[in-house]
Amino acid sequence: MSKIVRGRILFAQEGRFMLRTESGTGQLFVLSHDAGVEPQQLPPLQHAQAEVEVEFDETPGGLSAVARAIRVPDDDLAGKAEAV
Amino acid sequence: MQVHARARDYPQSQFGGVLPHEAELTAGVRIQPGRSYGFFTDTTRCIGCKACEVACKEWNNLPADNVGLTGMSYDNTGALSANTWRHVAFVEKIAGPGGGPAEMPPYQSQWLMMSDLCKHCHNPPCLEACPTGALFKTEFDTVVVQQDICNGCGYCVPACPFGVVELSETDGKAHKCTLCYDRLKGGLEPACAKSCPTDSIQFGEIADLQSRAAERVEQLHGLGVASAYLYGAPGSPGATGDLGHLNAFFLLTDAPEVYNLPRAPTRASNRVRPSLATGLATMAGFALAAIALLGRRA
Repeated sequence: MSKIVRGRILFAQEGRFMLRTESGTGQLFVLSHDAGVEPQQLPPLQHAQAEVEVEFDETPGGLSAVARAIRVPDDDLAGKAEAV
Repeated sequence: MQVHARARDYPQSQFGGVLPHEAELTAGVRIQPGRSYGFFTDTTRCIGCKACEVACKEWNNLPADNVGLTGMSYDNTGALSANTWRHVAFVEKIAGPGGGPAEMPPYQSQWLMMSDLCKHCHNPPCLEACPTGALFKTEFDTVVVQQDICNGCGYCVPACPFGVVELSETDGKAHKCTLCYDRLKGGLEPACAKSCPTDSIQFGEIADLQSRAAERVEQLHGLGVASAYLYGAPGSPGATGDLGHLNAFFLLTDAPEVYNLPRAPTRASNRVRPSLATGLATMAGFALAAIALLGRRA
C-alpha cells in the first residue's frame, strides 16, 4: 500500500531527490520507472519551491523510498509549478 | 602536495559562495574542458575510513543500501552498484599455516584496503555497447551515463570488464560514477578525492597523476616495498585488451585478483569477430554433416 507525503524538493540529482516534508524532516526518494515524471522535470519543481505530493513505497533494506507519482496539489498550482 | 599560492587570497574560514576554480586550492589543478582528468588511488595510503563513500553518497544523493553487516571484515557495501559508486574493499590476509589467524605484522601490512570506482577507461567498452548514446565521453575525458537517454537495455553491464555498471531496480536505468561531472563543470574537485584525509585518492590531470604515481612506486621500492606496482597506467596490468589506459588507476601491492580486479581486462568488442567466426564455423560443420547424412540416405 503506497503512502503519500507532502513537501518541497530541497535538491534533485538525476532521478533522486530530497523532500523537505511538512514535519520539517528530509526524506530521500528515487523516481520509479513508472512514475510518469522524468528526472529533468525535477529541477523546475525545486527552483519553483512548489509544494508537491509524493506517492511512495518504502524500500526494504534501504534508506530511501521509491516515488511512484509526483503531483502538484491544486492549491499550489497558481503561478508556481507547471513542470508536472 | 604544495599549498597553492592562491590560498593566501582567502585567509577567512567561511565563504559566501563557491570559489572560482576551487580545485586549484584543494587539488592543485585548474579544471579546463578539453583536458584529461582522473584519479590516482594509492592503496598503501588508504586507511579504510570510507569518507570517500560517504562524500560520494552525500553529493550525488545516493541512498544507502544493504544496511547491515556483511560479515566481510569492515565492508558494509559489499560491491559497486547502482547506488554505491565508491566501494572501499577490505582484504584481510591473516591466515596461518592451519588457516587460523597468524601474527599481524607492524603497520597492518597484511590488511589491504582499496577504494574502488569506475575506471573511466580511455576506450570504454560500456560506451561501445550502448545503443542509444546515453554513455558518452565528457569534455574532461570521463565517462558518464545520461539518465534522460538511457533506456535500461543493460548492454553496458556485461560489456564492463570491471563489473562497475549496474541497472537500478527502481528506475531501470544504468548508473555508475560520473567522476562528479557536475562538480568538474563548476571547477570543483570530485567529492571523494576532496574528502580523502590521507590523499590516498588524488585527483588531477592524467599525465601529471601518472608521473606522480611512477615516483611513488619508486619511493616505495626504495623503502623496501618491492611488491608495489601500478594498475591501469600505460603499459601496466589493467591497461590491457585495447582499453588503453584507465583514467582511474591504482597503486597495488598484491595481485589484482586479491583486490577483486581482473588481471587482464579486455574490450567486449574484441570478442565479437572470433565469436562470429566460431558460430559460422559451427553452422558450416552442421550443414556439412547434414549434407553427408542426407547424401548417404539418398
